[in-house]
Amino acid sequence: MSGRGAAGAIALWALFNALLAALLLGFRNNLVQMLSWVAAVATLLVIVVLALRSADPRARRLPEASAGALILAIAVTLLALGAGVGLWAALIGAGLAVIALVVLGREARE
Amino acid sequence: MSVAVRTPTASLRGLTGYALGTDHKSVAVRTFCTAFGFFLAGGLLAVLMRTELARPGMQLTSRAGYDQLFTMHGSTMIYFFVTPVALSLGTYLVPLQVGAAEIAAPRVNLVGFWLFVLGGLIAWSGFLTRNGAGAAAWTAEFPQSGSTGTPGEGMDLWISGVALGVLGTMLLAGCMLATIVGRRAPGMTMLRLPVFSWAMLVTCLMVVTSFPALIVAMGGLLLERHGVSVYPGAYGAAAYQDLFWFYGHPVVYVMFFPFVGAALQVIAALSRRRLFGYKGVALSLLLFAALSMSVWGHHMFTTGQVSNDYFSLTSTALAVPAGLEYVAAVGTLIGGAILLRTPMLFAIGFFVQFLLGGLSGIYVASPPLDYHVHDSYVVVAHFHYTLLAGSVFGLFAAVYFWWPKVTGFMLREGLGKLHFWIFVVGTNLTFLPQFFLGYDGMPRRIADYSPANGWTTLNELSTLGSYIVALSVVVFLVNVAVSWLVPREAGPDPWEAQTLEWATTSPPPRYNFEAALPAIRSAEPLLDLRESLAGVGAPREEPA
Repeated sequence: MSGRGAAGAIALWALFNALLAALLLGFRNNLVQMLSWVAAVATLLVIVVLALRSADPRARRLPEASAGALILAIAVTLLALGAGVGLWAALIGAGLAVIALVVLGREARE
Repeated sequence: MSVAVRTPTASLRGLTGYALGTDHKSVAVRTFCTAFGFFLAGGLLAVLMRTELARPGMQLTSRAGYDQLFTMHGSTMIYFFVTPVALSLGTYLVPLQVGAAEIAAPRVNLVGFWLFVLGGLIAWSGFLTRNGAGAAAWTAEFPQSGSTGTPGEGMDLWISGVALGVLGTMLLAGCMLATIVGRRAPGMTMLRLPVFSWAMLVTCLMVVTSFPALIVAMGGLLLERHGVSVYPGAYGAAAYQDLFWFYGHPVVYVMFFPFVGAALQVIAALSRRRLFGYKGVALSLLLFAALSMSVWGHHMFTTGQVSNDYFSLTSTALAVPAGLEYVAAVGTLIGGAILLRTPMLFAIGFFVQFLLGGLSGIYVASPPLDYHVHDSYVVVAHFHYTLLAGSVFGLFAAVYFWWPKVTGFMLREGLGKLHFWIFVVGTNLTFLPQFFLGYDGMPRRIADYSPANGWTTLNELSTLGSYIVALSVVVFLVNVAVSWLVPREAGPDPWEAQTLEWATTSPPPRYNFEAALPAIRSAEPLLDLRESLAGVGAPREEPA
């Protein structure tokens, strides 16, 4: 199925959100509140555009396993830990992230 | 259905399969089992807390230890149990329900699973540090969660773990959303989407739009703890709360909608009827989800930093779409050939139990009443009625209903019904007394109280209830063990259900469907098929 129907439902949801955000403008609000909502609605609009452009590919290669995905998850974890436990974790994470991207690239080509 | 090029590799098994396998069903089962492990761990913390509170005085732990217990209990249940377990149901079922061979972006899905696992382990690893685990509640409100209020690496680990876990659940939701958008089988229009998939659609939309706010909030908190001023002064504390609750209230509905969808699906299948008011339910889910994005400020009524009028209005308005879900459930049951099997009991239990949580929510949506009960045990009782006494009933409805599809064998009915009734008694005995404790003025998050307060009897009852809840979980685990050791084969469709996942084998093959899919003319293609085989009326055709 094309993504048009789903895009319509998501656009309707984005409209509900935009209306509720607009209603808040009539009450006391602040920058963080409005920015959070603007970001949410903007994200929805991006999803709507992506949905409109999506189509189920007739044939595609499905991976059975992915070592790259696991390495990427460990890399992101170490990057996040870096801020708390030390730069060494972030550096290892950055190195692993590069390796993960290489492995994922190779997996995608296979 | 989608045509997929099959890789020649045989199914992955063992440790390699656990670590690297991308099949959405396998990722979903791993997510479910890991989340259930966190549920047992978080539940153990709850029992310890209730044991401590049963009597005045400190019996089991210190006050600082108690802070860690309630922080890790709440965090585990919300970040690492209910949210991921809800998404695991969707990860397994949505591709099957929409007739897809696989989930979209299976590698991203696997990254999401691992980030969730690693996030949970990192948050829990705080217990191994000198100052212990995070101890600033599941909300980690600033400045309490700053380096002065909660010193030590445990809190840093908590922040990183929570951010990673939330990022992982965002990826799981993103893949599911992409599957609903672009992987539906021919004929599976949006108005033929099963109600559970509709519920997962709105859940995923809420996840991808509200969860980033938490990651921003956690990033700011981590920087703030390491010397960068991100939340300065009183406005900074309120800004943190705004960001946190922009995630923190939608997540309540992320932990609710999947179980509404599951319970409605169970009720329709075991009433032998089409869901009453299907289109209204779909529209009300969209409205409900949008409204639930607009109510976060009710958590901040007492701060004086939000418009109480606006957030009270939107919070109270939630009763309207919630009421429509109840109308759909009751309307489906009326006139149905009801089979009171275990999933049906849990589905009805979900709607009844959640009613208590929902109705008490209307009270706390009113600022004058909220000022009175804020940070008291009334709030604890309210949200536990929505989450444990509500959503977990929906979860068990889903587990009993789809267990045969996932494993190929049935859970025992007798043990299931025993589990249900013990759970009903346990949850109500635990949480009903807490409304009265809160009304009497017992604040939440305290480790001790004076005998002169007169709260001992109600606390004893609540603690007894928590033990009964624990017993009910043991009965469930016994049911799983018995059914596993002496399996009773389920076959592809033991419930004579309505949606596409029941059109394939139990468990489904690697690419979900080996035979051609039945024609999709409504949200209940298998019911259409049965009716046309039985010659009941003209073939039903829902508008596309």
